[in-house]
Amino acid sequence: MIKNIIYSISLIIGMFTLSFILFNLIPTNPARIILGPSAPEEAVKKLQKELNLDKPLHSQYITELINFLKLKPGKSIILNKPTINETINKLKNSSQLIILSLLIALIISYTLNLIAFYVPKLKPIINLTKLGVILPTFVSSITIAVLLTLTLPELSLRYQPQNISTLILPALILSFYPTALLTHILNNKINEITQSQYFISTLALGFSKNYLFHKILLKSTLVSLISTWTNLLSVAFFSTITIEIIFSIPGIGPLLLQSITQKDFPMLKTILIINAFFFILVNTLTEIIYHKIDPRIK
Amino acid sequence: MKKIITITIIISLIIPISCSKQQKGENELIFAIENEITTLDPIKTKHIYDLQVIGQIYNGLIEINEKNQIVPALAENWSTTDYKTWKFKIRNNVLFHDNSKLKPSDVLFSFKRILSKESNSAWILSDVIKNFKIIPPDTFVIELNKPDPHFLHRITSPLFSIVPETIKNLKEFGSNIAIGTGPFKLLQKTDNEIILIRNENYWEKTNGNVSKLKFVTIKNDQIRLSELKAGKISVMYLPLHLAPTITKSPEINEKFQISSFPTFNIHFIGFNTKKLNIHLRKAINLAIDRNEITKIATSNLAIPNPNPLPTPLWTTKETNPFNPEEAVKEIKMAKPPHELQLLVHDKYNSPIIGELIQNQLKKINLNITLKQVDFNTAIDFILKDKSDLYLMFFEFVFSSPEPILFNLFHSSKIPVPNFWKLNNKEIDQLLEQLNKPNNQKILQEIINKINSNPPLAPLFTLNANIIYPKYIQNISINPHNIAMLKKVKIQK
Repeated sequence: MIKNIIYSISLIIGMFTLSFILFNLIPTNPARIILGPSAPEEAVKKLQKELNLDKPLHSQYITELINFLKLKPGKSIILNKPTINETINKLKNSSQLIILSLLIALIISYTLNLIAFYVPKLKPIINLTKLGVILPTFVSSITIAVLLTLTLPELSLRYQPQNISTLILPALILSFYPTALLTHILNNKINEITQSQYFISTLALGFSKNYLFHKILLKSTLVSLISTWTNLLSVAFFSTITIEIIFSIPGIGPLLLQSITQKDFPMLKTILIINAFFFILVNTLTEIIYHKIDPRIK
Repeated sequence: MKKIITITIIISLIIPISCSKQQKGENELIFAIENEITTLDPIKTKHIYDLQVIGQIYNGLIEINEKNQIVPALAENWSTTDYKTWKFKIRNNVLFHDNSKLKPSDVLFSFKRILSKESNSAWILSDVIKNFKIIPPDTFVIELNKPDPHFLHRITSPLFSIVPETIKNLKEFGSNIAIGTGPFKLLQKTDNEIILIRNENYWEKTNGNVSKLKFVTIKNDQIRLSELKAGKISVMYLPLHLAPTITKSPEINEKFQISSFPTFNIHFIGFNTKKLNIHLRKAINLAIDRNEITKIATSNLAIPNPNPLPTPLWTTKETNPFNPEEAVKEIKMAKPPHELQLLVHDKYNSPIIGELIQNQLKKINLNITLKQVDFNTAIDFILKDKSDLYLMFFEFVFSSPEPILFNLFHSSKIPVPNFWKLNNKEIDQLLEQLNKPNNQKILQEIINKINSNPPLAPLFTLNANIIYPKYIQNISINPHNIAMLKKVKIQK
């Protein structure tokens, strides 16, 4: 456990350092961005001083790192709001979208495999999901959005926070890739097990198809399903940027993009911390769940 | 089997995409914008989107109408004897949205706040203001460092809105709370939607009938347009790159109308005066066909403009001094380098304009390459003299020529906003003489001098172009690009 904590902290510091270096390679001045292109140079220099941007890079790095470790990321220089509140707010929206999309992926992959197991003739439908791997999210989302506006003009594609149903379409598009991956992993595992001696003998004992699918096949694939699902969380976090921009969902993606292009370092730092904590939490939970499902895994 | 049926039912409930019904309140106006509103605090904003909403919630002392005429707002009238001391009589029948009465002390508080450290727009006023004071019972006084007959044009933007003194105790002011005196008041604010309702206690009688005003964020231009077509939003800005298809669509022309209003948004090619000699700059200025640029890059939704001032502030008969023969003569004298680089950014069709300029200059045997960076990086490149030529634009907060010309061309404003590092004593002296009531001749002289040794090649003044259904009437936008929605009538 201690090892894990040390590993996580060093990972976060590494991420922080890398982002600081990359960030300073972008040739823009945050004070200039805040005040606009026509503000006089004196006003910009004054603001630079207030933001500690007039100090040498190494001193900026040390101050930033200390604040970072104290979990005091400060205020966003663009939004002028505490970065923590803003990031958590946006993360809530993104998490809703991501979790909904991964649930959709899980349901579809389960249903398709169930259908293929009951009616082996329909197995080729599983291959259809491969489209989700071939089509990148930005292509599928734009194409579907345009097609829908042409065919169903009454349909609102705008995300409305008070109307959760407006999240279904973006979540569905975001689920294309996870659906493809989960369906195929589940299908491969099922194929592998159904050809094993153990399964053939169970079959010979006359158990029902329902029992075979749920108690034997699904149970045996649970560990790989959970590991894929948690890995897909990080993939979904990146794919969601495009979806959030296209469907105007105020999530972490547009915020991340804005903080990079506008050099809002306090905001970027907070997004990094919160994302890192989120993934560490998910990984720890996954490990606990693994152990519960299969005590042999340490 | 039962389980399969149950699962199928669940999926069939989830997958169909719900057609969200837009609440069609009788007089609801939904204005779609492409960015999220970052703040509703007038001193903290720097985005036109924020100002669009701020302009509905607050009032300034004075404002401008769509014809760039100053109109009284919270100041009933004003007077000055020496152009140095400006007295504003504050209306005594105005209520803030929290029902507190507007007092001169609120005006004093607001102006001090504008000049404070936390303000992003302090620089606009800081070098001209000497003092503020109140003369009881209802007069607010601004004392200037020097006489300035055109001072009023410095405070017409919604950046100079009046807020109640009580907001100093409100931590949430600007994020979830906004208290102004404007025609609409804040009801609700989420990340991508702001709902305002009509202020029934508004101090001015208007004929408008919009009872609910929504600002919604839809980032994708295509989706915004389809929402408009489907009647789910009422007004949107016309995206320049969609303008050619939209203006030619019979379906759109039948149901919708497009209105254009001149703004203070000017687009130009900036010259690196250290690298480009006068002949080369003149040649480029003459070789550019502004009519072609406005036609192709803006679908004629801009006004060709060869002057360094936006069209609402300065117009000349000749809007396109396109003369390739003269340009060729100049280029022969210029002895240009083999190739020049033009910096373009990612806003307002800049790459397309860049390509058009590249082709136009090729005709006078001047080869240029394009370098595209994001807008903020472009600013940095310009300040560090990393480009030969650059495409840029200004959205001026001043509504008269004097402060604009002074800021752009006076040597004391090097390096910003005098990007071109123009250091000409003659022009400096003329700019210092602008503080006279009748200064048309001086203005003309300055513009002539600048055009004869051009540090920039102005291209066009971009209009604010909006599209909305024909049943919406009286919609107009002032040159600060603020929609005046209090007068809007919805006739269904």
